[in-house]
Amino acid sequence: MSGPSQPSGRSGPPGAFSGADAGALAGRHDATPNVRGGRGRSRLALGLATLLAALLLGAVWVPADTQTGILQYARRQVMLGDAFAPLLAAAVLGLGGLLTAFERGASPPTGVMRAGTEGGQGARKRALFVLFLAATLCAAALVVVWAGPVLLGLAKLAGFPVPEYRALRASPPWNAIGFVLGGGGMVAALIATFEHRLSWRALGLGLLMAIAIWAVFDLPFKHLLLPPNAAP
Amino acid sequence: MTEILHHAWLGILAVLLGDPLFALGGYGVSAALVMVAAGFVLGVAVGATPGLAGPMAMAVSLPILISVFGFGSDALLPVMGFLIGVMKGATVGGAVPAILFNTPGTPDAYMTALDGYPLTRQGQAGKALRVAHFSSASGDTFSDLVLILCAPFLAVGVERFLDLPEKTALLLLSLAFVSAAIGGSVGRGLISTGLGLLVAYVGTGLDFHPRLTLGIDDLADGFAPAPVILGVLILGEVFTRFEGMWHARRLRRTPRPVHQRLAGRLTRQERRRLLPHIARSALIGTIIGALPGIGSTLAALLGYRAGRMRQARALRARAAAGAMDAGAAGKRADDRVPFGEGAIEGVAAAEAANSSVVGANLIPALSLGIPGNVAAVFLILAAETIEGFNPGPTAFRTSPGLVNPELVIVFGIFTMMMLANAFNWLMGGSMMRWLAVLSRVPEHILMPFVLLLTLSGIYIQQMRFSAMVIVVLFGALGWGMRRLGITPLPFVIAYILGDRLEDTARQAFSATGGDGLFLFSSPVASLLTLAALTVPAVVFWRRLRAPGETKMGPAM
Repeated sequence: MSGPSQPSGRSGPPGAFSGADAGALAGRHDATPNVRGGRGRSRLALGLATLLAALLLGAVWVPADTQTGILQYARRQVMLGDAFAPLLAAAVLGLGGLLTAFERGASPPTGVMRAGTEGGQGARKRALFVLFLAATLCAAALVVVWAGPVLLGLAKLAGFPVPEYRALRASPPWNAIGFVLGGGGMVAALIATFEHRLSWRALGLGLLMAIAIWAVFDLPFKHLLLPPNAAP
Repeated sequence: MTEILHHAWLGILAVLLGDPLFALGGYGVSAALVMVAAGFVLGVAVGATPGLAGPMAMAVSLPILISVFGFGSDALLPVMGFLIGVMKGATVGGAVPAILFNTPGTPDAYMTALDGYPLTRQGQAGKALRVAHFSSASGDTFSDLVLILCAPFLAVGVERFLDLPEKTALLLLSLAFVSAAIGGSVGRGLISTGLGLLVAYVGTGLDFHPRLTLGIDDLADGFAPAPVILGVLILGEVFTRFEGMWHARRLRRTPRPVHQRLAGRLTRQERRRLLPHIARSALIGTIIGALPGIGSTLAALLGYRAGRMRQARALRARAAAGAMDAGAAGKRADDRVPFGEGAIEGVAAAEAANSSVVGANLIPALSLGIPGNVAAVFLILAAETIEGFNPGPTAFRTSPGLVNPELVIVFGIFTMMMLANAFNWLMGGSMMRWLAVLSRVPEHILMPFVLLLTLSGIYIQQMRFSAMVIVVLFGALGWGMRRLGITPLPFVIAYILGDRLEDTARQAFSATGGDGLFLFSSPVASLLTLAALTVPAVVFWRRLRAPGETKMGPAM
C-alpha cells in the first residue's frame, strides 16, 4: 500500500510517477554504492540484532514464560507442548536474522530505509518526529478524556447549576465535546505541522472532520460510543 | 453436483432476498445488495484519491461495520459485501489519478500512468478512462469466473487428498512462500513472519497458564486481531507517510484540474484491438493472483511488458509491410503507437492485469483459508470476527440432504462479487469521471483523517481505551518495520495463520502417534515440506548471485 511515488524528473505535476519508478518496481533501483557501505552495515546490524533477540526468546523468554515444554505427556499420550509454537517463531526469526546479515543487495520494499546512511542529522530528525507524534497523540488523548469534565467544572465555577459529568456524558453535547476537541485538535495539529504554519483553515478542517465522524456514528447509531464515552 | 447447485441457489437468494435494509415501493431491499453498492462507490472514491487505497478503506470500515451489524451470522453478507465492493471499486478507481495527473492512486496503477498520462496530455483523458474501465471490468470479471470455477475444486481436493500432516506442511509452505516472495529480501520476510507468529502465540496455548504474557494479566487472552492488523498495516503506513511529510521541506502541490472534456467514446474497432491485450493480461493477472503474497503490482508489470513486446512486434511488422507497399508508405492503417507514448493498449494491458488479481487472490483465501493479499486479510478478519463462517476446505463440504450454511455464504460471496462486477460495468465508468475531482485532495489532510477514523473505529468496536493504545503501539511496530525495510504483510499473514498452524501441527503429531517426523509421514507431506524449505533457499541463493533481479512487488 505504498502511496504515490517520490518526485521525479519526468514532465508532469510534482510528485508524479515516471518510467524510472517502473524500473524500481522491477527491483532495479537497489544497486547503489550504499549497499556495500552504510546500508550494508545497517543490514548486518539488523540481522545480528534479530539473531540475538531470537536466541534470547528461545533460550530465556519461552522457557520462563510457558508451563509446558516442546513435548508434554498427558493421559499416557505424547503431545506438542505450549513451548513448541513460540520456539518455531524464534527459529523463523533467527533464520531471518541470519539470512539478513548475509544477504547482499537486498532492497527495502518501500524505499524508506535510510537508517545508517543519514548520519546524525537524520537520526535527530527522526527522533524529533517520534517525540512530536507521541506528544500529539498523548495530548489528544488527554483532551478527549478531560475536556468534558473540565468544561463542566468551569461551568460549575461560573455558577451554572449543572449535574455531575457522569450523568451527562451520554447526552449531547457532552458526549461529543471530548472527541471533537481532542480528535479535531489532533488532526489540526498534524495538518498545521505538515503545512509548516498555524492557520484557521487547519483548525477548521480538524474540527470539521471530528464533527463529521461524530455525526456519522452518533446520530444514526445510538449504541455506538465514541471515545471516551465507553470508558468505565 | 445437484448439492452444489442447490447451495449456489441458496447463496444467490441469501444475497438478493436477505434481511432488508429499507423498503422501496413496498419491497424490501436486501442489506447485502445495498452494502455492495455502497462499498463500490466508496471504493471508487478511495481508489481515485491518491494516498488512500482499497485496503485502507476496508481496514477503517471493518470495525465500524461490525459495530453496526453486530457479530451474528446475519452480519456476514452485508459486511463482506461492503468489503468486496470497496475492493473492486478501488481497483477500477486507482486508474483515475494515474491517468489524469500521473499520480497513481494505488501501486497497481503505476503502469497505467505510463500510457494514461500521455493520453491526457494529448487531450484524450476521457478515452483513456474508458479504456481503463473497460479493461479493468473485463479482467476483474474473468478473474472472478476463474475463482468461482476453481475454488470449490481446490477446496474439495485439499479436503479429500490432504490429511493433517499434509495440511501442516501446506501451511508451512504458504508462510515460506509469502516470506520469500514479498518484498526484496528473504531474510526480512522471515523476520516479519517470525514476529507475526510470535504475536499470535502470546497469551494462547493449551495450558491453563497463558504463555508469553510477561505476567501482564491483560495479555492473558492474547492480542485481539483488529488492533494488531490495523495497527501494523494501516497506522504503520500512516506514520510512515507522516514521517515523509515531516521530513519534506515543501508539500507536494495539489495537481491542477484537467481542463478537458472527459468524453470520448471507444469505437468497436478499438475495443476489438484491445481484446487480445486484455485477454493476455487477464490470464497473467489471474495466475499471479492465485499465488499467495504476490501482488497486483507485479501482475501489472508483467502484463504491461507482454503487451509492449506484442505491440512492438506488430508495429515492426506494419513498418515492414508499409515499406514494401509504396502506396501505404508513411501512412498508418490505424493510430497504434508504441507503449509509453499514449497507447490505449498500454492502459488496457496494465489495467486488465492488475484488476484480474482481485478475484484470483481469493482462491487461496476461500478454499484454503490462506490470505494472499491485504484485501483477503480483511475478508478473513471479518470472517473470524463474525460468527458462522471459517474460510477453508471445510466451508465447501456437502452432505446429501443437508445444507452447509458456510457453503451458502461462499456462494453468497461469489454472488456479491458478480453483483459488484455488474455495478462496475453499469456505472463504474461514469463514477470514475465524476469522482476524478477527489484526485486533488492533498495527502497531508487525508492521512490525519485516516488516523482519527482508525482510532475511532477501533474504540467503537473494542469499547476500551487500551485498544487504542495497542493499535498505536502496533502502528509504531509497523512504522519501524517499514523503516527497516521489513514488509508487514508476512507479519499479518503469519499472525492470522499462527493459531491454525499450531492446532494442525498438534493434531498431526497426535494422529501419527507422536512421530517427530510427521511432516515426512507421506510422499505429499514430504514434498510440501521440502518445498517449504527449498523456496526461501532458492530465492535467497538467486538474490545472492544476482541482487535485485527477483524482487516481486508488494502485495498491498
